[in-house]
Amino acid sequence: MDAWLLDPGQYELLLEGALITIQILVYSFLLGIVLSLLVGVARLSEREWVRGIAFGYVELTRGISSIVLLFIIAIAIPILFDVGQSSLIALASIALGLNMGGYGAEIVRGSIQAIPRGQTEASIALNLTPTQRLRYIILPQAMRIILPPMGNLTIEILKGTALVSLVGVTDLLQQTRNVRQQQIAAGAASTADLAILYLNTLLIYFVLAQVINATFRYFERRLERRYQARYEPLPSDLVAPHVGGTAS
Amino acid sequence: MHDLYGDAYAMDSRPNEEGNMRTSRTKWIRGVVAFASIALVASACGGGEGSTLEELQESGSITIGIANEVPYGYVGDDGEVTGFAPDVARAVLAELEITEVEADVVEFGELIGGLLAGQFDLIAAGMYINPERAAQINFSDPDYCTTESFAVAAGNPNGIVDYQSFADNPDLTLAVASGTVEVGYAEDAGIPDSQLEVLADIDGIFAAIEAGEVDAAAGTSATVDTQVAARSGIEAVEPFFPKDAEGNETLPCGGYGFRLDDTEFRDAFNDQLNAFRSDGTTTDIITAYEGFTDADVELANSLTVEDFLDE
Repeated sequence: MDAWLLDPGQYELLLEGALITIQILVYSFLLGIVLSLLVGVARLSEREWVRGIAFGYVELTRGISSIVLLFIIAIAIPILFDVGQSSLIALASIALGLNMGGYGAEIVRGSIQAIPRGQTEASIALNLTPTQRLRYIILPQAMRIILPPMGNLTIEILKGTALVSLVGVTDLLQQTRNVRQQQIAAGAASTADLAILYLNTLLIYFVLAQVINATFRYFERRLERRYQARYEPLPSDLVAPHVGGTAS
Repeated sequence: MHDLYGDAYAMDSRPNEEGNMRTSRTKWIRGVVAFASIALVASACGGGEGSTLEELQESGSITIGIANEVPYGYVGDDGEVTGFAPDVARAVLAELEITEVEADVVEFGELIGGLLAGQFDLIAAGMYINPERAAQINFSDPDYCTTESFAVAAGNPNGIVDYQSFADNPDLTLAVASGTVEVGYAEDAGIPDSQLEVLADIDGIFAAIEAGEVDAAAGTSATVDTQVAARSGIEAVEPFFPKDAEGNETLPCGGYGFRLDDTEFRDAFNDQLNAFRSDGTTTDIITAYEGFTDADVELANSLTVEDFLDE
């Protein structure tokens, strides 16, 4: 073991892999978040068949292990239907996105149900259409409850992307294994070399997770500020004048 | 979604437990059926016809599948895929006017699945030719033969010689990589599952022997030699020819893999490979890598793929 660092060429490989990992994360997040919102709202639809489809989707995608879903979508379906893997990255993202949608839909449903019923009743009283109720009254409030667990889920998906190396995508984990074979070819493959290699990989995943974390916290804070700004003090709050600037 | 809330609360307060269960079951089935049909429709479109060889020659480019295994195929220091199998494949493909060769590096067990799913059009990983694999994919003639070996703890404390050693001593454990021929060799030798550790990748089995989790790790001599040289505390046993279930020695020889219906591509590749086998090109490429001798290649040159499928 000569150093804690790898060769520049090896870092290049790891970063190439990290870019693929990020790409898959972004695609599956986009698909996942859209599905979460659609299915989460559909779970509360008044039409039974809409609720049925949403329920079937949630139970299927939550109930199947993501690695199996990944093999079905990226390997089994192309073989069975002879459709070819046009883009392995896209197929892998679809599998992870479907998976995320299943969990996310439950977060969205739970958050919508957590909004006090009075909000809906008030918006009905204001003669808003159902879409308007959802768009202007329910979802903005639900968003505050949705964001923290959604950030959690996104980090889960980031870590889940490591599975795609098993269906042949050269992501961060696969590049780590490739670098490992380089070490062996070079005759330097002690356990310490292995540990250092994986520590570097671990660090990259950790940094990526922190970026997700920070992004979600930023949006949480922004949302919170908007929410606070719209808060009109009641007359009773105004009896005592503000002193320190800390609004109650 | 006319009554978003009314409905959500109605669901909570359904009085009849049994009725609730029945509706939720129908709902579930309906949902599954609807979801499955969407998936089917989505997957049914696509799939252009035309011979693979023509398509490849027209575009002049191909993606090939490489196992992540030194010295057969791996990503070199320059980030380019190297190893004897991709080198030979590149030389052959260049003659077929397919000059842009992109390589996907995957774990060994993923090669056949990836080929069948269309991730790549050719396996260039020195894959041994055997009847089980030939049922799933087409092989070219072999371009090298090798021997099998084990990595064992330094000094070989358990006196491991070949697969029979494990069948004879129930205390010994053996690590093999998923999807490799070594799994089959171990089964043919009658080694029970309890003595067998099937790990996901080739690197993992050598990590296991280095860590002392198992008593041996099985692989081709070239792989074992490379791994032993790069790690400490382990050594390679004397190379040997593995035996089949009847106790006859088998020849571990590897070739290139194609999809079953790509016979035209396979034949064109094979003709060119044979030209290279007779003019010494494959010998030059393969023996440039450590662990392969002229004799290994000459043995392969005397064999065709049929020699491996009759047994």
